[in-house]
Amino acid sequence: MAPAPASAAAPAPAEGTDRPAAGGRDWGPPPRRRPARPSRLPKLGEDVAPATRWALRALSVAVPLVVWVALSASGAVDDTFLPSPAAVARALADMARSGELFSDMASSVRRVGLGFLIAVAISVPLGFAMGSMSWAQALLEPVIGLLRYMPASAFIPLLIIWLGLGESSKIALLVIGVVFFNTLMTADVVRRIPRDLLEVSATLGARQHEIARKVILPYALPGMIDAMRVNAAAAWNFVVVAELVAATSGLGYRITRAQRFLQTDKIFAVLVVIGVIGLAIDILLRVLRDQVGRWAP
Amino acid sequence: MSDTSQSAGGGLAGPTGQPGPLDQLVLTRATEPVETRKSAGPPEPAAGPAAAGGALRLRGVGMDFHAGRRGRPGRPGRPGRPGRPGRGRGGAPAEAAVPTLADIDLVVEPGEFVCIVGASGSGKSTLLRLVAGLLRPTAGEVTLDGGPVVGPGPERGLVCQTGALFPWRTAAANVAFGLELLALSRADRSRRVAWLLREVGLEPYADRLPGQLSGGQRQRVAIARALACEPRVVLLDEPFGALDVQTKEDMQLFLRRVWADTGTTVLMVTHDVEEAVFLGQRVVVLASDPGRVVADIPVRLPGDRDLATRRDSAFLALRSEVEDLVRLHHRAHARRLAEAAG
Repeated sequence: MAPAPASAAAPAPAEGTDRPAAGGRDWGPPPRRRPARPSRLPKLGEDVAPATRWALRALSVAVPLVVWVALSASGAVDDTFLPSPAAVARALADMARSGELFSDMASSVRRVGLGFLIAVAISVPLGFAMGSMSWAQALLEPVIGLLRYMPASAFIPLLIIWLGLGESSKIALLVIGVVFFNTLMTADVVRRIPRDLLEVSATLGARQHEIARKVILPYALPGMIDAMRVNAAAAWNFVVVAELVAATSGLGYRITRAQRFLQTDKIFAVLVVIGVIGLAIDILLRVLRDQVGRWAP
Repeated sequence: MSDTSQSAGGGLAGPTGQPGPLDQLVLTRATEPVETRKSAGPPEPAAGPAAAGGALRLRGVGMDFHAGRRGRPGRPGRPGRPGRPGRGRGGAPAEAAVPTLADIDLVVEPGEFVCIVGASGSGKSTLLRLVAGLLRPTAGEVTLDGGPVVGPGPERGLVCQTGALFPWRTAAANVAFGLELLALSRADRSRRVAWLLREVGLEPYADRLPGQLSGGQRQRVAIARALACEPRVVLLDEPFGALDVQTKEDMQLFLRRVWADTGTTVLMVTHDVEEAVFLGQRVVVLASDPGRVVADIPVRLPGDRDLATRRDSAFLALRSEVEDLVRLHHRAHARRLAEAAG
């Protein structure tokens, strides 16, 4: 290894390519790629610094807000179509002062609460049965899989014929919109339980009902709450849809009223309220899930 | 040895096989009284002891899986599904049946430590699941203290390779699971759990979740949980298979100590011959196609074994003997597979 640098460089590639093919291989070594250029961007799956994360979160809200302010201030869009944030805030304050905002919120939230509760009370036992017993799966999955694809809003005319314009038709719409999805999602979560947990429970003496209560339920609970979170968003959508069609109170009703008088600022204000309440429900359920599922990664 | 090869031939020729003395047993339902089986029973297998009080007894046990119905053989279906010889489900013809285990005779005495080794595909895990009651044999019977095994139960504790701990329960709560199902006072239960946690050396980790424990610690919890109901026999299915070499060594010494302390009966399945010889009082070797017992070797080593035992010439000789047996049958199995493929 003493020769001059010029000759030292030459043999290296020759050694690779001229090597006799071993084991009947008649191809050379595979081509090598040059190493990737070092990058400052975070790698896939890599965490960013907390400061960066918070900055990005702030941007996520700030950018649309700034676009909105700029658009309405520039006068490119008519105020009737796109009210300024200030006008929306004023409308919100007016509605709050007159009290109609809170009564509308209360009736919408009550509808969501009741309808969602009924939907959960039906779908969780059904989903639990479907996920843990193959006969229940065989019995229920075809019909639920079919019903799930029927848009809940398409049931509105039927529901009005059946139940009239009162509260029950709105709550029924909510239940129809949520119950099938939540059943199937609950069943999926329950089905994911590892078989060895069930087997080991049986060898520890657990009877079937004990396995359901002490093993499957605690295992599936965090996932069930996750499913509820997703479907709570849907429930919130359906209550507004129901109130748009026929109601004398509620946030959806307020939107239709405002539409009649071309009060877009009011519509915007109600939309903001709907979004914020939905977010609050989501956060509530997420906190609950994190408490219940502290063991889950 | 000659009769095992004969039964293997019969098993391969077809599931109906040749009528033998065990055909009576094949049709015996596990729910029938014990006396009937005793009077009609075959002569004791050669390895069987004179005493009839064997803790755990497998007589002519066979297990068929139906090809193409539920995954590959050795990964059997639901627990508690009764197998029926001679026909598949829904009247399907019987030729789809693949024998995974055939004609297993095995007796484990109370307090014994028996290891089962065999190459993959020899049905070792299936054998353990039959004893656990998670599967029902298609032929023969499994009895514990003379009573038939009809399903899983706390008198046969199971520990599997992953540990299968309840991830939402702390170490202590995992150990307590079986006890919670029994009519025990809270104080009694916590006393037992505390003793078990001390025995497996996990007292300081009692309140940790399984996710916060190392692999070895998790297996200790799993063993303590299986021991909590004071089972007649503890079934270990490759309990240390996923651990690193050093942890595995610790766990083997630990298991020997727990076995000595509790006086429990242990039936352990492993593919690690060194582990089997080091731990067991007997090593049972299984061969494949179908799974059958080809050797039942007593381990004549001192009772108090330590790491020096592994360098002992008697230990090494025995290990080589068992290794050769396993290898021999593994190669035969591979050859049969290659012939079947091409």
